[in-house]
Amino acid sequence: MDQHLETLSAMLDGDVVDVEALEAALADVEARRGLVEFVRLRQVARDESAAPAPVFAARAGRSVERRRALARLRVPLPLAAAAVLLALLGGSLIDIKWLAFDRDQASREQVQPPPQPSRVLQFDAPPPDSRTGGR
Amino acid sequence: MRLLSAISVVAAVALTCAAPTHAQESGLKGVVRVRAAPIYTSGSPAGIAASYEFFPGESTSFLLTAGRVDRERSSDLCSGGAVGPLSFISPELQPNVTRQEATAAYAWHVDVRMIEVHATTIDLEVSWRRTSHSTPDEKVQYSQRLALRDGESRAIDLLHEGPGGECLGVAILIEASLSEDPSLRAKNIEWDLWASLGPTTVPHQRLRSVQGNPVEFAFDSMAVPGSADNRHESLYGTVTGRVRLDGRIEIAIDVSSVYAQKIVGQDEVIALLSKQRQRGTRGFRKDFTAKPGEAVKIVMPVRVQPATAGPVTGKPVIQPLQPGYELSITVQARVR
Repeated sequence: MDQHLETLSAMLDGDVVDVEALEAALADVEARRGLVEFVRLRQVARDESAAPAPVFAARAGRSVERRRALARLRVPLPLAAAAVLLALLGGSLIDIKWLAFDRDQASREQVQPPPQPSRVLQFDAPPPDSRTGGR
Repeated sequence: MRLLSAISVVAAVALTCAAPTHAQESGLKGVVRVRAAPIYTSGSPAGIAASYEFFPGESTSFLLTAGRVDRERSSDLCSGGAVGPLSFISPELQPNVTRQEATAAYAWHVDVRMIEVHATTIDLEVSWRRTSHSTPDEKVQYSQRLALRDGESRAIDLLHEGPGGECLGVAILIEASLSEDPSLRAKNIEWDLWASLGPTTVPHQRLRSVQGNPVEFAFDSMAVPGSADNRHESLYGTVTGRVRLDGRIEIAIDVSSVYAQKIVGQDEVIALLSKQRQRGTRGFRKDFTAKPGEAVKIVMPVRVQPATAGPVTGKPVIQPLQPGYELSITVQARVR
C-alpha cells in the first residue's frame, strides 16, 4: 500500500516511475483513493499564497539583526575568560534548587495550556455571494 | 465642475425602529449607502446617494434613477438621483418621487435587509429591480447576499452610455460602514490567544486592542507529531473586537497558516522566506459573539497530516487516509 502511494506520489512529482509498479498501484483501490487525495491536496496548495505575513518577516528580520549585533561585540579572550570565572564563582553562591524551581515554573507558564472552551466553532472560508435573478 | 441633477435626496432620520429589541441592545449598526455613480471620460465624481443606519433585522427600500426622458430636459445616464428610505418619504413629497421615476430613463428599486452586524463586516441581503422607460416590458431583477467590510463598496449594476459623449455610463453601488454607540468608542480589549496542533500547544499571546481596530498575532511554529521531515506549522493573523452595549464582544478573527520543515536558525528563516519555499493556506475567518472572559475554541477546517518516510526512497510521503491533527486557536477576550 505504502509502495503504491509512493509510486503515485513520484508520478505526480514528474519523476520516472516503473510502469509495472504504476499498473499495480492503479489496480489498488486504496491507492487510487490516495491518488485522488494527492490531487486534491495539490490543487489546494496551488491556490495558496506563498507570501509570508509581513509581521512574520519583520520578526525574523529583527532576530537576525540582534544576532549580528552580538557578533559585532567581539569581546577579547582574556576578558571573556574572566567573565566566565566570575560567573562560576557567583553561581556557586546561588541556591541551585531555587534556580531549577524558577526555570520549571517559567517553563510551565510559557506553555500554559488553553482554558477549557465553553464553545467549539469552526473557521469559515470567505463565503461566495449567493446571487439569484435575471431578466 | 460638473453638476449632477439631483432630483431629490432625502436624509432619513429613524424615529421608530423595526429591529428586534435584542438587536438594538448591541449598540452596533450597519450603515448602507446606495449610490448612482456617474462615470465620465475625465473621471468619476461621487454621484448621488441615499443611506440608512440599520439594526440587524431591519429592512427598507430606496429608489435610484439615471437619465431623464422628459421633453424639456432630456439628459444622459450621468444625471442621476437617489431617494430613500422610501418608508420615510412624507406624503407631500410622494408626488415628486413618482414624477422622478416616471421621467427617468432607468430606475432601480433597491430593497436592503440587514442580517447581521459583526466586528468588521455587515451581512445584508440586497434585492433590486431595474426598469427602463424606453423598454417598459424589460425588467431586470437580482437578489444577492453580501458580506461587506467596513468601508467596502460593491457595484451591483452597470449601464453604458452610447458612444460620442463625455458620459460613459452609470454604476449602482452599495457602500457599507459600521456605526456604534458613542459610549463604546473608547473601549479597550485585552486578548489571550492559544494555538494548538493536536497535543502540542505553544506559548500563548496576550494582546491589547482598541474598539474596532485589529491587532496582529503570530504564534511560534508547532512541530507536527510523527512527521518524518520535521514538519512545522505556524499560525498568524489578526483579531478585532467591538464591545457591545450589553457587555458582550463581537469578535472577528482572520488566520492563515504556513508550514515548513524544521528551521534551525534565523538565517535559514530568511533564506527560506526569500526563496518562498514555504507554503501557506488561504486565510480563514470567523465572526462570533462572546461573553467577556469566555474561552472559545475555533478549529481550522483542514487537518494537518504527518509525513512518514516512504519505504522505497525514504522520501516523506503524506498519508492522506489518516485522520490528521486538529489545528485550532482558543480566544479569550476581556474589556479593559
